[in-house]
Amino acid sequence: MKTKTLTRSLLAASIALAAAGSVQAADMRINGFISVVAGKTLSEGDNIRNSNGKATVTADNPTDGIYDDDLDFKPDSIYGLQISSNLGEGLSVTGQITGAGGEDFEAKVSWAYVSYALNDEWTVNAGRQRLPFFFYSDFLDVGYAYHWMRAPTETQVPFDTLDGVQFTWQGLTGDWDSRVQIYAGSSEAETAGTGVIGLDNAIGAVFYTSNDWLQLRATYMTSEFWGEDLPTQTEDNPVDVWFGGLTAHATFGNTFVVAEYVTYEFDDAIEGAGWTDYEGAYISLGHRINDFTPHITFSTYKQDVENAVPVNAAGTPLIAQLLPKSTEESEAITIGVRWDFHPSAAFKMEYTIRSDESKSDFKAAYGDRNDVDLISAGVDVIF
Amino acid sequence: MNKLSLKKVLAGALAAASLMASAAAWSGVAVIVNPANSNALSGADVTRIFLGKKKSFPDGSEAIPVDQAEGSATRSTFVSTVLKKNDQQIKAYWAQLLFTGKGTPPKEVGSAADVKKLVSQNPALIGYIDSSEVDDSVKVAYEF
Repeated sequence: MKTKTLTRSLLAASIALAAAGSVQAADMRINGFISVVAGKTLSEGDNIRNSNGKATVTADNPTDGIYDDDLDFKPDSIYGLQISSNLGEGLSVTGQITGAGGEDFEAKVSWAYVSYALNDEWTVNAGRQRLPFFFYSDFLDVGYAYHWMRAPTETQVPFDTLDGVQFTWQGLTGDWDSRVQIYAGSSEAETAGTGVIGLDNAIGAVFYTSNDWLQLRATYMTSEFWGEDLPTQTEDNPVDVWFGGLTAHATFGNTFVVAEYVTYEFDDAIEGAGWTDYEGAYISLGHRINDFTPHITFSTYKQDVENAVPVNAAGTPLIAQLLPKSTEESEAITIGVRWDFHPSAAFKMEYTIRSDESKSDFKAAYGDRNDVDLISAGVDVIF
Repeated sequence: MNKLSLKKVLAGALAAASLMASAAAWSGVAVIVNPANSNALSGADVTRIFLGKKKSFPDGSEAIPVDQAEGSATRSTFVSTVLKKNDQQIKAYWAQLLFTGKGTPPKEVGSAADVKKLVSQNPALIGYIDSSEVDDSVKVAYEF
């Protein structure tokens, strides 16, 4: 009888110790996400750059995830695996491997950084981390974290990682929870037709504040842009660029609305492509009814070009069609629904109707490449 | 015989009274800390600690929030009344922070009894249980 009691209390004590240990000890956390999405375009538009001459939709700018009129499971599909370890006393390490369908699911290191909490309000991250351009850029790959199949591409750029250092302040400003991020570093990307492009000496800041229904965000960055395939604007002779963005997100019970505006401007037009000033924006409204969240989004972008030289499907620049000054413009409406059929998974369906509003000389030279509809469906899972 | 009956009646009445008391307290959620933790917490402090926006108690000592297991009724009540989010919103909220390295959700430690036991052993922990489950091993820091 006595032995039994002793065994029992020993058992109880060891369970308690083990449980306490799991909370206190330096612990490792493994999390992941997967999105499996299929889609195809239903297009009328032309794009002189594509071999079949038809308009396409870029679903994932940083990875070349592009939909055409064949059903495709790759452009929006992605997996990610994150390992983080809290080493105690404010020190933690995080690594994230992702593989996007646009890059044949090839594994790449999206995150690898050391984080150190200087005090309760200041944290410094050093290493490879997410470049915080947009409201959604931090968790762009994690479809589960938002209502769309993909965040509006009108407010995205090919760059998504920052190799550098970032200081974050987080604290209360009155009744508002606020965050300030200040970062410096560089970024590289490779997309179809551009070769390797880069941002050097990037310095930026993000201001974010929220209360229980409203989130506001503003960001600004300056950097130097280069492209290895550009005739003169190479790494040794980059062009200055600045970037700015504003976002508001409001929640009213089961209804939410989010709007974002971004802009960037090159000091000199990018050779060939001719890019100078860019503006992109969207407004999205959603309403949750039990496990279903139907939503509607209006999105648009406008890109001014100077001395733009169209390139045909064979890669040949069409010098005779040079556009001294023109504008590409697109407007799109997206309707969709998110269904939370499982605590860790969501099923989504979306339809986007996009129309080309470019200047007539731009359309004549490049094709009405924004006249394209896209239908897609898929699941987002986190684990 | 009479005395015994009286005792029985009294015991019955007491039992009934305590049942009623716990029934009355059923809807309340008590935020609990270790009895050695002397911090006075506001509702906003509790919300910020459980949303990962604050990592310490007002006196500067480390605050580690712990969650009840997913599916617990008390957890749903806590999330909706205190954190003002539904179950899907809180999951998406943590997905956003987790995959951006900005924070990790509170550790899930199991039942109300598990929460109480851990909190009673560690002054850094803060948890929540149904008000009816509060006893001397822990201190109520805030009640919703």
